[in-house]
Amino acid sequence: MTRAGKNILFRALLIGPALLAITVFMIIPLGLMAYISFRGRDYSGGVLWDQFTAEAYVRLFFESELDGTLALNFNYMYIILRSVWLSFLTMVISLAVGLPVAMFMATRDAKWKAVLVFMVTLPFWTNLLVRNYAWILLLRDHGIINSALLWLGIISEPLPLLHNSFAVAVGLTYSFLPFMVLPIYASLEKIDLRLVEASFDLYANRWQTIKRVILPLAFPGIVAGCVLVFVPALGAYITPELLGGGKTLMIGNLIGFQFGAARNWPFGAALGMFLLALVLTSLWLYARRYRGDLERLQ
Amino acid sequence: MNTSTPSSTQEPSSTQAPCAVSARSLSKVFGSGSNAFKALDNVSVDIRENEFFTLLGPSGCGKTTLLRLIAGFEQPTSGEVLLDGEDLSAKPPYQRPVNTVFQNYALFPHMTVAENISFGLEMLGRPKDQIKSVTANMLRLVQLEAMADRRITQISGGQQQRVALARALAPQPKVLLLDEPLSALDLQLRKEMQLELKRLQTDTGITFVFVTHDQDEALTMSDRIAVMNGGKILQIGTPREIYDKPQHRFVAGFIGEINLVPVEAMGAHDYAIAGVGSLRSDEASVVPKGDHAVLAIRPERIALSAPGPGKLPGVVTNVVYHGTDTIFHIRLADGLELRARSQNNTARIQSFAKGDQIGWTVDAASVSVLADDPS
Repeated sequence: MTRAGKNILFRALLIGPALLAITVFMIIPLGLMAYISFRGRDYSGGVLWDQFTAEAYVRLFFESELDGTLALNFNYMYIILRSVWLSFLTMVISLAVGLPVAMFMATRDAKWKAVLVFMVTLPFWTNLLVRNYAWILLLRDHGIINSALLWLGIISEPLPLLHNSFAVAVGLTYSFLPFMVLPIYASLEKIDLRLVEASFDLYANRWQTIKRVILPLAFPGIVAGCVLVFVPALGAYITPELLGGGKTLMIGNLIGFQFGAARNWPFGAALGMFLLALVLTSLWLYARRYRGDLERLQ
Repeated sequence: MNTSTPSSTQEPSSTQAPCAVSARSLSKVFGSGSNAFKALDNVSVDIRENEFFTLLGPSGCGKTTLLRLIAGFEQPTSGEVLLDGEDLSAKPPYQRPVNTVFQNYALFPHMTVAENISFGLEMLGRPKDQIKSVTANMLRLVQLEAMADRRITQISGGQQQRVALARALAPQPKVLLLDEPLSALDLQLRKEMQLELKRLQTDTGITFVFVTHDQDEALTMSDRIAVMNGGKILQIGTPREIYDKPQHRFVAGFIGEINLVPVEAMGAHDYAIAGVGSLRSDEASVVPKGDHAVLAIRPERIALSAPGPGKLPGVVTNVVYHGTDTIFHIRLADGLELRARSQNNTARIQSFAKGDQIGWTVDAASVSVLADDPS
């Protein structure tokens, strides 16, 4: 074999495993999803492979009347908007709660840090489903919170805490909070304490130091945390299913419904593609907005 | 401490310029119980206005702790820090009119050179146009005008050093604290920066408190030096006093090379070296007649010649050539050796070789007398 030939073979062998993994785990499933979304619907479940149609995408915005004409239908858009709104709310609450937690953790001594990081990751050790059921016990009409408030005489009727957007937001925040805390903690922990001393030395008080030195330096962690909370929250399935009680649907539930009871695979796939487009667009907007800030910290 | 040596840690504050910073019986203990470490042990010192004052000592001697107590990063275990006579104890670092140049500069990586320099002025709430003009002045002062909009990561170590200096000087502090600011620079740059720092101190008239373990740096730049060891200040004086008149064995040994010769006091100014002869010192004895003392003699103050009357005898055991000078190792008696440094003022071949019998003398002004205790 020629020297150049050997070189190409060598490179192919090196790239091979990564390429294979990307193909099997990303390109094929995504391609399949895109493909199915443009196929005809088999009412018994599955797909009419030989029929090309964009019907699934039309269905996102329109419904066909009995006479065959199309009318605007905002039902799906409404669910998608609620998903975005709830995910955004989850991200904001997680940031508001997670940032002080991460700051507290990062300023403890080494022994305490290890314990606190362990405690933050503790929920991962058990099943998400079980933890969401636990929230039902807390939030339902005769649950722990309502019972306690009734017993204390603060309220006379149980508060509607379960099966609404509030319950879903609480559940999502609870589920994804560690994904906000950990990256922020990691970036705070890397900050050189002498920079904080330098800031104090240059007449910045505690608040000014947080605003001008600590937060800008923790910015990559904050961005990572927001992305890690927002993106999976957008596709959440279990939490809105259990805590939303079938009334507060999110995209995840809608997709699940299409592949299950509704037997409309192409529409489920189209919803998946739409979700993907939504995530990519928000990440792109995010990146465009904060690229400069991230680059200056490289 | 003996009464004949002026108490080095308790200098009268009335001399010359008024005090900028005073430490009063300052102690700092880190940890507690069996892990307790006394970093600073009852230190008192008065630093004058417009003075270039250096804290010199080996690592762990407490010099950085003293600096951090003045800056307010640490709280003293006991004692107090006064600035212009006012007690600073209750003030956090951001309320002290003192700025620090940190050992590794601690520049803000997310800001430009100019943003770093203007940070202190902004935090003080100075008007925008003033911030702008002072920052421009500072950039000019440290010759970094062309770098104003660069990121900290885009400039060299020497330039970062100058930014750190400009950032600390911009708010015009009463006192500038410098924590080994030159230690990360290479030798050539360090020499340049030594002169530049001294120039800046003279130009700005700000009191500099400079921490270093480098004796050359201390001798070159300082108006006064405090030599520290084991959490205490052993001696305070001008570079000349510290070098020529060390009052402690530690001070004598830490600054430059020195010969320590055990002797017996014969009178107020005369000392006997057993089996060799006697030496005179201008300094009055620190011990009574008949007691042991130690003479400290710098190698370059020893004059070598052929043996003769009025000279002390010795034998050359080694000759080490150093270019500008030559070091002679001279054996006086069993177990007693001296080093003498002789300037190579001419290219003539040195007249002494290994094994030669020689005579040596020392000017009485160049002989320091120390108590014979191991401190």
